[in-house]
Amino acid sequence: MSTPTLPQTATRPVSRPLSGLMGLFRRSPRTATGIGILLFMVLMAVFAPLLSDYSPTAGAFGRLEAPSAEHLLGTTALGQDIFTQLLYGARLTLLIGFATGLIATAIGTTLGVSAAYFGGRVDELISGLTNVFLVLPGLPLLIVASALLRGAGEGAIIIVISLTGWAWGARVLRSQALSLRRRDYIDAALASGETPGRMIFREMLPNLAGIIAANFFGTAIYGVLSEATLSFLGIGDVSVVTWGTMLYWAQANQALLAGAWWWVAMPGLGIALLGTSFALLNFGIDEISNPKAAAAGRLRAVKRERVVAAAATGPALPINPQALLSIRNLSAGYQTPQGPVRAVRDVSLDVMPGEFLGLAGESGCGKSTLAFAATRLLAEPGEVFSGQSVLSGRDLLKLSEAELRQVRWKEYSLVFQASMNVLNPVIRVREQLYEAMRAHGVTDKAALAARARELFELVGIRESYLDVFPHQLSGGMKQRVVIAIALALEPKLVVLDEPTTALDVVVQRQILEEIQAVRKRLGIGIVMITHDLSLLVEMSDRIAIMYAGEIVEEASSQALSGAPLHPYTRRLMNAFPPLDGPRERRDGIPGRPPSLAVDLPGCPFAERCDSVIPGLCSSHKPVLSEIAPGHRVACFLHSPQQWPSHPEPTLQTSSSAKEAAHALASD
Amino acid sequence: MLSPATESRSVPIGTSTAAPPALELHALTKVFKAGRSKRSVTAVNALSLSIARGEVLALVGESGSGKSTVARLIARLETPTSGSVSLAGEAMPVHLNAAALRQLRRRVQMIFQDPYASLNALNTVGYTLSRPLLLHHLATPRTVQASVNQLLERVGLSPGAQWAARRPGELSGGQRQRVVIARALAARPELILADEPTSALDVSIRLDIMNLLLDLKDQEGLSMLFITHDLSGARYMADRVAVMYAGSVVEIGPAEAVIGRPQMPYTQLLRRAAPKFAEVRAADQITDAAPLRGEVPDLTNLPPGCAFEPRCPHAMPVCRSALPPLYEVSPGHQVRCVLFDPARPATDSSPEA
Amino acid sequence: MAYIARKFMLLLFTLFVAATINFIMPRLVPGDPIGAMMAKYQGKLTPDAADALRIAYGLDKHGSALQEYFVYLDKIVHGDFGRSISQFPAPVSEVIAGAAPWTLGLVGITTVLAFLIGSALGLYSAWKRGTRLADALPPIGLFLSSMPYFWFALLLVYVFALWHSIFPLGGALDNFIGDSWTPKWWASLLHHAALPALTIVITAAGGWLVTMRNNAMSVLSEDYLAFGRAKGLSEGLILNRYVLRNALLPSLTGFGIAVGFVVGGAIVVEYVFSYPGLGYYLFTAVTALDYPLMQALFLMISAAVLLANFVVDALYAVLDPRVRDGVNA
Repeated sequence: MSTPTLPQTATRPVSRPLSGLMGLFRRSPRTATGIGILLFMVLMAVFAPLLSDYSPTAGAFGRLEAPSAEHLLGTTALGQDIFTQLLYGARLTLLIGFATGLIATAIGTTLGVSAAYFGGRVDELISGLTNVFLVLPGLPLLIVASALLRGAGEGAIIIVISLTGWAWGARVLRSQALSLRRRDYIDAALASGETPGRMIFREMLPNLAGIIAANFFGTAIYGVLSEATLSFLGIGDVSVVTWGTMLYWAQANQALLAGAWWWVAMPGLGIALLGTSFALLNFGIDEISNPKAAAAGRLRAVKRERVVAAAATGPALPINPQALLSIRNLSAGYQTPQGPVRAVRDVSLDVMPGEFLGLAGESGCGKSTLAFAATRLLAEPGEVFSGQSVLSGRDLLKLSEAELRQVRWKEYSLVFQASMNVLNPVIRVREQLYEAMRAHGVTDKAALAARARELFELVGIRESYLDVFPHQLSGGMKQRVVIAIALALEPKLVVLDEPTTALDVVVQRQILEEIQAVRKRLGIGIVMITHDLSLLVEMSDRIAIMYAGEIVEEASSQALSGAPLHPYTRRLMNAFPPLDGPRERRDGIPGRPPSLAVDLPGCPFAERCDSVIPGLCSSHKPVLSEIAPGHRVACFLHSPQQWPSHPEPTLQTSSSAKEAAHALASD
Repeated sequence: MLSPATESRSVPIGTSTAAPPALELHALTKVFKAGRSKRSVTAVNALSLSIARGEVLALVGESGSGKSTVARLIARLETPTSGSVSLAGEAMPVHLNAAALRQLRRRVQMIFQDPYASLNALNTVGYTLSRPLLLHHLATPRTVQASVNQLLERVGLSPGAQWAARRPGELSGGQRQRVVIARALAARPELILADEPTSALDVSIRLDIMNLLLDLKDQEGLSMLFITHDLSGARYMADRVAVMYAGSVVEIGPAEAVIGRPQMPYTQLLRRAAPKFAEVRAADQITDAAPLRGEVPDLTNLPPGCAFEPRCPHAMPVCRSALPPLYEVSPGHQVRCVLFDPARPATDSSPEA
Repeated sequence: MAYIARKFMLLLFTLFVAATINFIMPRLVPGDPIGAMMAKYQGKLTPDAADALRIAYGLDKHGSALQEYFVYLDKIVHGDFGRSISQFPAPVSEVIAGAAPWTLGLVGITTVLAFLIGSALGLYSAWKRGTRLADALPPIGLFLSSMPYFWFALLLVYVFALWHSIFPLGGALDNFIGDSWTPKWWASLLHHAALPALTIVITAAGGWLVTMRNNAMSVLSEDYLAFGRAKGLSEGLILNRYVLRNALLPSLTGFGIAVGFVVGGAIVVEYVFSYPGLGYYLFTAVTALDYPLMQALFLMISAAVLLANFVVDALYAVLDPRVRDGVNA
């Protein structure tokens, strides 16, 4: 039995370590700012007595004095120092904010998670309650409630604010907990016999931590603003010092009329900044828990390292003028904060007109990146580093945006993975089909409708499906629609990226047969990318095998299935247990593919290869070369002429190559 | 290289064996109420089957066939609407108290499809594996570490101590699935329910996982329900195969018979649709298989008769009236299709491979 | 249209709950409310007024609380809210009728304006991310949405009414303006509404900016956007049909709740500007312990917010085909 190896740490190139506070700041300046502001205010509140000698309520000074060296923020109409008031006011304001945040979040979390975990009647009851409280306007309710609780003190205010602010959190947590409830690891824990207590506290809540924290900050803002508003209106206890009551007294004493703007500006600014810091923290939490948003925001931050294209291991090959698509020395990949990742390494391929080329490889080998790079559809942070992709004589990688938009869909098109969500959910299918045609000059309504009918017939869908929305279609139907759209302008080349992987096997076969029929009828060239080699053997004319960003073998499907040469191809072909024939044990391939972030000096398959030539394969890279007509392999076993110390090819078969290797090694 | 358990693969159903079947399902039914309008979805329709001790039964079907629901019913992640589930001859009562549920959870373990979803990303591998050991009193807090390490080494993750400290995010798909298998093994179950355990893995890893499952099954004397949509995987793993369509078993028998010479038109359709290398193609051309038309049936609106009837090339009026029983085609090989009704006059359209 | 029917039922039910809360709250206050009011209005309350109050409270009937409850509900349905104490002898419904147009006008228009402006800026900020202005907008939006409404109102008053007398200090119209609906009348109206409106628009737009930006960012990373581009569609078409329409929908779901907050803020703004709308009167009613007016206003405000919510929900059903079919988006 093969023993997996521990994840490598040494070979990965160590780049700028993003740890600690500096790392946080660089990754997310907003979160850092938020933390900074909050910290500042907390310190202000805690160290108030140290920062100011005065008492906040003693009116010992001149009235309404403007800011000066003695009174940094001036004085009030009663002769109190505003700076001191601000410091001490911070205490209660922060306390109220945190307290309401805590209580409201606790209520919301308990109710939301309970509703999700217990379901049924409990859920209905809690959801009903939540919906009602969510819609009742908070502040008017607060005002009326507080008015009735006159003289009850700040504690009562905190409770009342919390009671009006919990509903939003309950709703959000319920939906999050519901989706968690359906996750497999929850079911797995259940099936293991886990106790409900541990289920909720150890399995579910930690995964909800981000949402709960975000909810806390959201309700804390609500609490601070509500208290400020209530205090400003004079509701609640105006004898305590909070930033809100400061504003009340300012207004009551007509501060603005007297020109004492500082009395009004500072407490309000404090509240606004506190609220902003909570909002920034919320933002930061969102970024951490939602990688998509984070990646989009991080766009600019990633420094563009100039990728030094590895020296071409073979001669720069000329374009094939007869080919429909001629890819030459294409290198592409992604810019990540840890440095560039080369997912496609010096790939050269031809697709002849009307040919069906299959591109096979496992996850992480770079085949999708190749397809997107060659068709100029690689989105950031993806990037094409070097090479050419020539379609009917034009290099797609050198076209301008305007030229590209004309060529796209008309000369070539792309069918995305079946599991992806490629149809706009709010627009009818018919319109999405028309869009593609209209963008390329077809505007006559009758022509559009006729073509739409024709296309649907081609892919085997009823015409009535033209006027539905995407969510009304099953997975197989959706994919057929996507294929119909891809064929709309009769392109010469269609690239399909795992077009049937997520679909049922019968639907998969239907769609593939439809693709074959269409191809024969219209004479289009097809590139199909998949991990399922057995499908390609049946359907394609030629197959290219990709491993760790490189093409390792390329041949006609008969040659490849009949006599695979590359050790990886051989092992891969062996990995499909047959439906007939002897029932025997087979082995997979031990180990895992190398990380695309690392540039290896030798053959990428060397560490897993059972025919590895010691001293050669790990240190030297084999070049893709033609072994038999139309059959290319990148392997030292079949290309002895590439061995560094022996220029002449003297050996024909792989077994004798092994013998020769041993002979050489003992020289 | 044949596995040592080859002998047991040819034991046909019906021959008396000393031990009661590891699992027996009788008329198991599950009806869900879906959506706001509370439409009822019959996911599993009076299903019966059995698995002998040490046997692997593959449950083959497409999405919507109900195969995953069957596993969930056995593991009591869902409660059956009616019918019975028996383990080693004892029937499970419909309402299980906490203690009985705990016992069930020790004897029956489940492996899920998506290795990235079935492990809690926040917990270490060691914690995840320690839970079943502690819950079922198979280790004490002092011995659990050693037990966890042993488990990991049994599934090929050596040295166990180093793997135990890792979190799922640091592991590849294949490694995660090994951890999932280790977790299932921890409770020392009698029966493993493997729900598409290799579908989400790379092709070259699948064989390793399947081989691991076969080896562990032999070593521990486990019985296994192997759920898959892939016929070749079913053939590789299983002694017997059951094919499901719209909540019912439509064909069941020894793996070689069901997959090699399918009788039910739906199974023939599956076989025809399966990817195979070109040289095997010719053999299929002969069969009078169903054309590739139509999609899986709407489970909220199941007809009273055979659910495959709309797509079947041999459909007859009697197919619509009632769901036929299972007819025996050869020893141990049964088909739910009126074409095999011995009382029916023979016509020339009966398919024969 | 089961979805809309359900939402309408929710509307009615919540109104009912609001009315019930209204009824329960004053009765939770210990002691005798009338006595408290009497003490407050020492000598200012004529015997007639005191009696009217007792009748309005149903305290003359000495029935059970439940009986009072049904009497109360019955009265509401008939629009009889009793008489205001602070504006005695005006009936509450009259006070509300006078104040409502001001609030509906101010809040209605500014909420919509804030939504449109904020969303447009948010969309811009996401679409043109990487440019300076687009990246500066989110922090500004965050700050604006964290500002207390009233504080911003005070600042505006200080700068534009006290320091530079561009706008009036408060009120809805100049005194002695003459006939209504004349151009002079309109000019005065707009002149007085400028600062309150500006306050609400600027403060509320900030929240919409951030929300819309977040929605647009997640739409921008969706697969169907890449497919749209792959088809060769123009950037304008992508922005309009793919980004805008899909980013707007999640914004709408929060609209109803946001209206609640805006109304809350508007109350305080009316107070600061002495703008004679529902909020202003709610505040004066609270200060004066004018229970009939206070309760009626609360109910009215709740009804307005609930109705706005309902309209938005209906709009959402029109715009999102998935909702119409009851599919989870």
